[in-house]
Amino acid sequence: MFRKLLALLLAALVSAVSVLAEEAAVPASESGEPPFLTSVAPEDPAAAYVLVRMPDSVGLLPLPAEGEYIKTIRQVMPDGTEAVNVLRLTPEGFRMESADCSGQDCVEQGMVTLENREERILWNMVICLPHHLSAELLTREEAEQMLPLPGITAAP
Amino acid sequence: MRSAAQKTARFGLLTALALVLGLLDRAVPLSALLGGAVPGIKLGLANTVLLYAVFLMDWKSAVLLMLTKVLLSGLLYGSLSAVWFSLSGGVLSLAAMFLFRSSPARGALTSAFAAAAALAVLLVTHPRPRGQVLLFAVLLAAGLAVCLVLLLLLRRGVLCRVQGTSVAGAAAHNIGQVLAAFFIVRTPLLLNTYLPALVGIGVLVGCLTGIVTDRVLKVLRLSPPEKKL
Repeated sequence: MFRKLLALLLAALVSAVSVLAEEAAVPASESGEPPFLTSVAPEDPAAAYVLVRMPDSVGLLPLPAEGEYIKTIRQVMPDGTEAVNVLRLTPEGFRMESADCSGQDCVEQGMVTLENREERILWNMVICLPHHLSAELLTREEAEQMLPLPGITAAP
Repeated sequence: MRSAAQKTARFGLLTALALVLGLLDRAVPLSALLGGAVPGIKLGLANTVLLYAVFLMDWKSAVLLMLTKVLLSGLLYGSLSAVWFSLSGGVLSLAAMFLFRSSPARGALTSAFAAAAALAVLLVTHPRPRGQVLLFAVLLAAGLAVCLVLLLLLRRGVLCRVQGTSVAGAAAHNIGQVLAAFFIVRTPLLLNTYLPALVGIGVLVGCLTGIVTDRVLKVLRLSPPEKKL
């Protein structure tokens, strides 16, 4: 009896693995929102950047000097569902404004600023584990050192 | 000796119980209580069922129970990608519990070492802890103290044997989850704080799970078979 159950479980696991092996689609930019940057331009005045990592792409967003803006990130997960994460960027830092993941841990992680980086357990990151997305706050020097990242295409 | 039908029925009951406890987990917003500092943190009440399986069933049934629970709870409650975290945590947790099944005192000692190492890593990278880091440094210190008290009580024979095993199992479970998350996020710096934080919580929650299992076993008048170990 146990052998049959084990076979059934193995079949389910194999099908799950094959579903997960498909790649996630590259997200498209929302109208009215600034596009992702691929590197730090010398003339760009921003002092800090948010590096967003998704399964197959990477994107850079500058912190605004004044005012705030939001960036909506849409992905298609390997099992076909849509994943939406909304970041809010302010002159001080950024936070996950909203997301449609089941846990909402990313929204609860709060604001990341250059000042509170040292105090947070997740340091300079906000992570949405179900959506395989992470956003980290980098100073200009850190962003310049990190990019361009090899082997990963930039998000549009 | 149990008949095959009794074994099947018991297995089904335990699986259902583990799934319901997984649902009950969500009633306590541990993540929000900790200020959203550590994503993916859970109370892990279903570990009580796995603890029962480790002590009172053979290892094949325990492994099967864990796999069934991981797959079904992933399908029912979360996304399919969440299954990997549960699986990684479940495998390590079961391995740790079987490892310390016959020597819970050693389980408590190992957990104490893990908590001490985690605290050291946290303090080395943050010599003057503030904010969330301070909170988790305190929690880790509390976890370390709990493990040492546990060790003392186990040596004196005061506590039931499941305690040491439960603490080690819960800590191992959280280590497994962090390792799975690390494969997604891939920032080594995160291991300095995320891993110690989860080890700290794991030790404390493992103690809680151990107490619950201990009480349940006493009420059911079952004791972990001394002779089998």
